[in-house]
Amino acid sequence: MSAALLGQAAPPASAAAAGLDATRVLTFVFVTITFMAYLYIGWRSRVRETRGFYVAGRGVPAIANGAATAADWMSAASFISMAGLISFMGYDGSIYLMGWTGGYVLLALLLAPYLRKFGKYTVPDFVGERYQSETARVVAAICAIFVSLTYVAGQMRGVGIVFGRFLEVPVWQGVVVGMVIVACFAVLGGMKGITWTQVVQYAVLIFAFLIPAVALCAGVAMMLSLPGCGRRTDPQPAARTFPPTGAVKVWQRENRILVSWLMPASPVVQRLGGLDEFELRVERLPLGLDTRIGSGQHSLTPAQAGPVSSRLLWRPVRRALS
Amino acid sequence: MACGERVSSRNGLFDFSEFAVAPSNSTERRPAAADHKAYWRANLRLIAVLLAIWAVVSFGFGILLVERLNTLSIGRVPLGFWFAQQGSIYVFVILIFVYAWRMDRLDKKFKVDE
Repeated sequence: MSAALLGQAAPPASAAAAGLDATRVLTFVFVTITFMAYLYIGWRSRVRETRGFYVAGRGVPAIANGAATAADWMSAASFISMAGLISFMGYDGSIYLMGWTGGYVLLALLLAPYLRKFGKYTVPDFVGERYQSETARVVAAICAIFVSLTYVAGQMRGVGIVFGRFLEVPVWQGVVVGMVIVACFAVLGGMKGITWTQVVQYAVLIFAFLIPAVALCAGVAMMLSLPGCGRRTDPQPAARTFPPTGAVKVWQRENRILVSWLMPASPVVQRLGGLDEFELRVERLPLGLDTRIGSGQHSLTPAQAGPVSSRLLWRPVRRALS
Repeated sequence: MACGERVSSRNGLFDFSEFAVAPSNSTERRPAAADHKAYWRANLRLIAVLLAIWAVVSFGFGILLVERLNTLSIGRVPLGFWFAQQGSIYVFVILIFVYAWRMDRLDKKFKVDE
């Protein structure tokens, strides 16, 4: 949740780094306004009892709850790293998309309804009660803490980077600033404050996603109208051509990471991706890592090429069955 | 955090009793044992069907069958790739809505709705 507030800070922050003074002032104004809004919400929905703290007194409408959940999904990882990750890893990056969106289905079908019906606030409480075992409860608690810490570490790093760039301070100071702000409205408002804050973040994030998307589409359309970006004549080798392969090349050539993410399979990317003979040859190589190593322009060591899960689980399965 | 929630749940700040298990004095709300079994079976069947679809669109279409599906395409997008990047996610969202809708109906049918 916390890092969802990165959303509106990220693009202006990088613009500010480019040294545009007006942009910097505007960024500061907008970030301050949104944070004031978050803190105000936290203050307004401050709670005094446990029930209010954990489940917002059950007074949150379904739509608002859905918006807050969606804002959860669009956290620091999706906003800052997902585009680059998928662009960089190519097809294997889809494991993140399917993985963490699919997790919501498991949650909705297998856990959430029972947690609700059981009348427990937390998963460890539910597990402990359901299996009538303190041991199970402790195990669940340890798992929850481990998951939270892993998650928060990444999110806080994202907060630190954004605040660091925004305020032009080292990353660790950015982390501290972000932590203080988040802690303020989280502790004040509990679940209710967080939920309503996230409803606002939901709107802010969607705008923040749309603005670069529209700008990039306009930019790419202009770029394509320039001479030298002709349509490729060679019919593409269908079975072996993956848009991400093209996308990686777009990234290499044009350094426009978002293009590949926003329109991974659009005609635009395919046109950009298949420009010359060399790249057509590269496309006929085996998929995935080898393609990128084979291209020679941007060699990767296996360690850089993706997480272990992907290398160990995903590719062998895909290869074995292909 | 942990202590707070523990104490409060024991204090009975919640009124879940009415839909977890009906209060023992109101027999009309408590489903009969046979009913309860039927309810649970329908519940499991629904989950099994939805999770089968869940597995097929993501792991099946997105990973296992991706090469084969890529020979087809939606517009100019290879089908397998589309499933991995967008299709499976659309289906996930639909699955959650379908689950909520069917469970509501089931709850009403067995009179255990909130």
